[in-house]
Amino acid sequence: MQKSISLLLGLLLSASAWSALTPDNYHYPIDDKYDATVIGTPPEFSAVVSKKTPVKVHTIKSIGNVPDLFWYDDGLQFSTALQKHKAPLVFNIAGTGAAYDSAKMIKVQAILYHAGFHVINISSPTYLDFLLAASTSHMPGYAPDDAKDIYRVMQQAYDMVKDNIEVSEFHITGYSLGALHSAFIANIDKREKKFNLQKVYMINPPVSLYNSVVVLDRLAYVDIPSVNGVPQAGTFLDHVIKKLAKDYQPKRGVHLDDDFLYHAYKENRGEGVFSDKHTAAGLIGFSFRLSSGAIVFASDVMNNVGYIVPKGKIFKRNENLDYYARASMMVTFQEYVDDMLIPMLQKKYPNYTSQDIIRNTSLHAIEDFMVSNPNIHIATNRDEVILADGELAYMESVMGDKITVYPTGGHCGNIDYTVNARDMVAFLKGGVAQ
Amino acid sequence: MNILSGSCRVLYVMALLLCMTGCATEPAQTYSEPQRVFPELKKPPSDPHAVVNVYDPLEPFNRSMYNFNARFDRYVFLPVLRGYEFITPDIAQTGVTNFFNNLREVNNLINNVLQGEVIDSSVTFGRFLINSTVGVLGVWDPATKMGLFVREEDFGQTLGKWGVGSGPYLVLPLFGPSSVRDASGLAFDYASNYQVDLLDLDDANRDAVRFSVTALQSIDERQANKFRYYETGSPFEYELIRYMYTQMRDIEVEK
Repeated sequence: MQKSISLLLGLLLSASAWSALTPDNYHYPIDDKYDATVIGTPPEFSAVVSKKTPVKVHTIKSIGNVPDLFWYDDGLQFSTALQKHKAPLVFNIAGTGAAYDSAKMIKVQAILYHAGFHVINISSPTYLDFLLAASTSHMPGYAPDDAKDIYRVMQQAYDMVKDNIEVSEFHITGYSLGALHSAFIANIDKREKKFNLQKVYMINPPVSLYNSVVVLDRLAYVDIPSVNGVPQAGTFLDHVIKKLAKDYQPKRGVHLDDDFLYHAYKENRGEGVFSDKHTAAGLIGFSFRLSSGAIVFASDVMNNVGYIVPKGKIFKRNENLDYYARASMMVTFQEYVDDMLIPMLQKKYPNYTSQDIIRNTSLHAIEDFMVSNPNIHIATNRDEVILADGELAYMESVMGDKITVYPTGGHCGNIDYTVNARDMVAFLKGGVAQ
Repeated sequence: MNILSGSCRVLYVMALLLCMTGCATEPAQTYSEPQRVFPELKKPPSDPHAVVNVYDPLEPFNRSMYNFNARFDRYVFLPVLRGYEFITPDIAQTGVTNFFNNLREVNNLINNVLQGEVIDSSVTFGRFLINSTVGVLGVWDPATKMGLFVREEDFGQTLGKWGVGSGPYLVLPLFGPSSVRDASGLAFDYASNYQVDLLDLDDANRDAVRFSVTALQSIDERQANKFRYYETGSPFEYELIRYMYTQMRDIEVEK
């Protein structure tokens, strides 16, 4: 009896600790941080409902002309999902290299729309279309300037749809780099008051873009085998793809869809392609390098930098780009920042040291705003992939109770997990703190 | 005999197109060296599976054709598809899809038989019977609900099974990414569909009907394909698609 009472007391006393998120009460199904990042949230755990979302795509005119090589770019596209009644509007900003219609963006849009919000999805300035059509520098990566570009695009986008909707108030959200941008944009809006943005929900932000880039760059080198310093990405991919196809013989009628990776993962634990720790990490590294390669090449051409493309070179529409496809994959994002971005910025802002520039594109630069604004919230994971040592602790100390740290999920793997979606909606719906 | 002449004609037209583009070469211009040069990347890749290492001797033709297809898609195909989606109720669209899928069972059956797949052939035959009768000429798909899933095979895969290599990568006008082997397969499949003539279009002078059916079928196929040109966010989309197509076909042939 004594024993059971003390046990009960113990339970009661620890109840407050239990209300925090632990692996025991958070049932996101993928334990490994890299696997989670690649596979995401399986449909049976996702908050995305099968109801149709009335998504419309619009195009904003390009701010300038693009070379013939990029003939296919005819302006910046964005998408809307709008309510028929008065509702709050959420701007949703994409992560590195991602478009308004990338998988994560569509999921967040669907969750928010069906929770009663108008939603406008905007591509990342690091996405090719934005870089070509809407970036004033055509060389993305500097958050203060990129945020200005997005802020301008938000106004253009809203102008195009405002006659058809009634908006009660404006919020902003974003994931990964888009989360960092959201905070910078909210900071701009505090002065310019174009929207009077109320709430800022940041999903898996980097603390310092530069530090995260270093972490992600390494994955392509460490987790993909190299020969003479050239990562053999093709052999790596070929292995992963063939192994996936062999591991996972889909039941007839099952197709290559969102489900596919998770089934391949679940049914072959221990021996499947994901049992190799380098698989998921290498895939993240590869896809990051693919995005960064696009940025390196496109900003080189757009600004005539002469970095991997000879100065003055004019590409024909149908020109062979094999060499540049390979060369751009060899350049790390860190090298892009050091060799292209920082020199360009130092021409524009002669007083800045490279340290200033790196610091300016981190949360440190807007720490006062982060601390003083009660309507800003960070959602991240204990096993976040893109943070450097000490950065999670930094965010926790600065944000206090304005941060939620989920036990698992890697980088954005749990973005549409039911618990995460519920918290996001609850925060955006809750009253504005004064 | 008719079948052969059908595919020969397609190959002849393609050979003609190749000549037209292959002859256009211009002198290379010289530029000063950029900041970063990777001499080893100017040689063929040491990595046999490198993404750019797809056998593509027809590259100049393929690139122009890729861009032609992208423009056609943007200015003709997709607007037509949007119009179709706007005026056709969802349930009718599903009916159209089922109807054409059912017609395609003829090709699936021929190729499953040619590959010696006994079970898949029977399932395909069963699907065709059920959907053509209970499913009212294939407008509904009760076979799938009964657990008889579609066994898709085409003649390109059959050739692959028989040990025919894919040959050079080839971008076909309107059809998009393919290979010399798969293009011949496509010609064979179209020819055999023409021969079997399930819709009995050969009888009288029904060219207009045939044209409309083909147009509707193309729209239906474009709808099923979620790919949109130049939305991968990569300036190297041609290389990526070429790689992904080749990988995907390898896997499909192996299955």
